[in-house]
Amino acid sequence: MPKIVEEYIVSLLGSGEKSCPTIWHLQKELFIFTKMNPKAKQLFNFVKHYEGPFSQVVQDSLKDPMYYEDAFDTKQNGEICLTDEGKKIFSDLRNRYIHDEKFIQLLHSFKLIRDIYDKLTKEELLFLIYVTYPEYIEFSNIYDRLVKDQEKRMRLSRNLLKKGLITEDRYKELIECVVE
Amino acid sequence: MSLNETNVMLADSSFYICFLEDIGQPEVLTKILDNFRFLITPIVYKEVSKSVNFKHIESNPKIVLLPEENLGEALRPFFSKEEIEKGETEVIELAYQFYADDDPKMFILDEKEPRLFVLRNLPYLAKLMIGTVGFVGECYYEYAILEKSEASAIVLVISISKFRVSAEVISEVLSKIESR
Repeated sequence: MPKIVEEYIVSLLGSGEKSCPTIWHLQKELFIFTKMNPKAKQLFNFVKHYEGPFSQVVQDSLKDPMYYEDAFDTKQNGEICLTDEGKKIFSDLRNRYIHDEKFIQLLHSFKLIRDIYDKLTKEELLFLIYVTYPEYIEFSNIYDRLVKDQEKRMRLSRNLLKKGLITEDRYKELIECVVE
Repeated sequence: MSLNETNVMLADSSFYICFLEDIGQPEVLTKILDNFRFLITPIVYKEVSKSVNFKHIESNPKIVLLPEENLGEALRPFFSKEEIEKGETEVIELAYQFYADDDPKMFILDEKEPRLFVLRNLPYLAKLMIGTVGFVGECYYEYAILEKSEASAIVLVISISKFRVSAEVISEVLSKIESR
């Protein structure tokens, strides 16, 4: 199982044009992927955690990979990227599964996710995840600061609107949302 | 652009509702359907099927219901509940999938904010995006499905109906129809 998780991570990283901004982005982008593909839920097993949905297997695969030891690199600024070895693995995966519709679909999904979610700051990302999937609020140590704090919620919502990442209607929903 | 059997379109619910409810001319929709294949997503289907005039298109073989569940999940955090229920996220995500598969399809999206979201975040889809009124115009001057007078009359009826569209769009499409 860890091997396929590592391959998912390689594929997610390979699908973006730039490095993945943070470990939180990588975790949450894979979480969104499980929302698009519920069959992948079991593989990643996202649970409620201090900072939103969290997958231990993703964390372990990234920090201490068992199969592709030199595939990923975390830069000093926290960005995560594929190493040259990782790029080669990604290329090999693509060549191996070039005729596999599901794999191609997976790459398309990752590209769409990366195109949009990489534009979010860490706070914007966690904020949107919490308000969209409130079932992951329990155990959070930042929910109060990001969502319950009205001023912060207004500021984050405004920034998202300014960046063109949410619609006007969504903005209204976010600033008026009833929080627990 | 010529019309052939492979002309496939995607549309949000407002397109169907425009003809079925807002202007109450399901026969125009049927005429359009005769010349295209419309892929309809589950949420859009559910929304459109609430129309009392749905019976006019219910068994039309040119409407193909896609069984795909979880379409639109990647975009869910960025759109309002109402926009999601209109099928906006489903249609954008499906349009993205076809584009990524190198099989781009035209898609009809009417609401201003979801259209802006596409322009800002998925600009490569912009050239495939059209609104219902613009599409009525194209049904005359690109596809020759409607007569000139017929297309103008429909646009005028839409302009005074419940359907939300700006005066600028109406005027622009009427001018295009008149000039061809």
